[in-house]
Amino acid sequence: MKLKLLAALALSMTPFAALAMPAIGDMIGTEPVAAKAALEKAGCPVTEFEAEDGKIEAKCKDAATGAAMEVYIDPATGKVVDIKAED
Amino acid sequence: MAAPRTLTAAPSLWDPVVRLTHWGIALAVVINAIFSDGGSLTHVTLGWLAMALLVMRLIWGALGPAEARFSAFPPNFAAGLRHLRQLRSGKVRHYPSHNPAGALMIYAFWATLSVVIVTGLVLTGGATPMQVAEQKAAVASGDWSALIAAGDGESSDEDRGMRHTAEEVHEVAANLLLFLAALHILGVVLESRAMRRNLVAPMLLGDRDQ
Amino acid sequence: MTAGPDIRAAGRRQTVALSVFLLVQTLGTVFFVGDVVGDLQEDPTSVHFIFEAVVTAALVLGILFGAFALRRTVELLRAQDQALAVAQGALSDVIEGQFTAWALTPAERDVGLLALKGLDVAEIAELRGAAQGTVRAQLTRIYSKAGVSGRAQFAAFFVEDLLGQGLTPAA
Repeated sequence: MKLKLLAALALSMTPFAALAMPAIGDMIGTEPVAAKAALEKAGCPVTEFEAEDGKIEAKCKDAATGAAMEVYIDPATGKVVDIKAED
Repeated sequence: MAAPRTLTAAPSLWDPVVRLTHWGIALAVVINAIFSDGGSLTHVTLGWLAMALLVMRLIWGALGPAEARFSAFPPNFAAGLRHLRQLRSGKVRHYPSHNPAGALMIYAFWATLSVVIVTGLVLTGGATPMQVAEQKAAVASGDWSALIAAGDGESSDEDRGMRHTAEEVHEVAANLLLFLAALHILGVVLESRAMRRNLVAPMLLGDRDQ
Repeated sequence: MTAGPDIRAAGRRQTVALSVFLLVQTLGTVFFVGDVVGDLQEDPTSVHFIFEAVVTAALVLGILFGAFALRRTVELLRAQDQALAVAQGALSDVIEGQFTAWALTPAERDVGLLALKGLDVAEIAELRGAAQGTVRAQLTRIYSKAGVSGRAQFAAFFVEDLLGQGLTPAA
């Protein structure tokens, strides 16, 4: 019973929002089809991809908060290098 | 009798290079600071245009006619402050080129503009507008491999930190440019009043008398 | 009589056109260098890069020579403007221009002009409602700014031109 309570407490501590965005360093993909699927799975469905300053900028909407976000992907490695809120 | 003297060709304010670079840079800065989005093709193109204009003005400052050269308006804080005080009293000394307060503004502006340009180049990785256009077209058509430059390694935390710093400095310096521009406009108004002359006309149209 | 202003207007248009061209040259060179720098990072020993380096040097030299030429054109046109103004008897314009080159104050300009017209200190003082000491001090400042030692040399500046000695570029 203690274990169940602890588990429940631990789950409730986890900020819900963290589940809705990828983290820096996550592997997303080196081409648009795979990347779109991966980002949707990570909780941020993509509206469009753009080139910005040599990186791929994925404009997506945070499924948890509804905020417009920009996820930057390194085209060579396919990993997330930066995440920003859209200004 | 002394050697026959002759009339010097009076400085004609201002020659076309000074005018073109002045308004060209002003336009590029205003559009980029207020209207165009950072990283967009328009923004990068205007940034490169501003860089070329600045380079041209600096070359002209070394090679141009007397009143356009750096030696005609050296940076001098004491003289600049003195001129500002004169401006307050409404009676200013006349100069054949920029007055010393104006000179300080010019150097402050060029220095800040250089910071904006350098940080801009850091952010774009030195990509020319043509390269940026190619990259944007490639990604728009779904080809991400076009962005991979030879020698790209893993992007580290340091790289990200440097990019964020460059971005901050770029923005702060750009805002400083706008502030300096506002100060400059105020200065031109006050100086025009004190000299009882429209000082915008020579910078826009050159010397109409000659 | 209309040849003068037309030549001047044409001259002004030419300098503006040359300036725009110099700007286009600079733009082109800056863009080209931007492209070449990318190649530098990849393979500096390739023939391709060496070729680009030579072209860049040529473009930069072109800008420098263009700037020199434009400066000469600007100065030549100003000298021509001066000569034309004198030829058309617009000596007062030339005097005003020279006063500006010497950065004379408005008061000094008035006093200087009166001195050129031949008025002595007492006459100038009476005309301007000022003290003779003031006028003397102003004349001293004017001569100092003009780099002359006295009234005769001050007048000689302008008389020289009337005698048609022609213009030589200032040292």
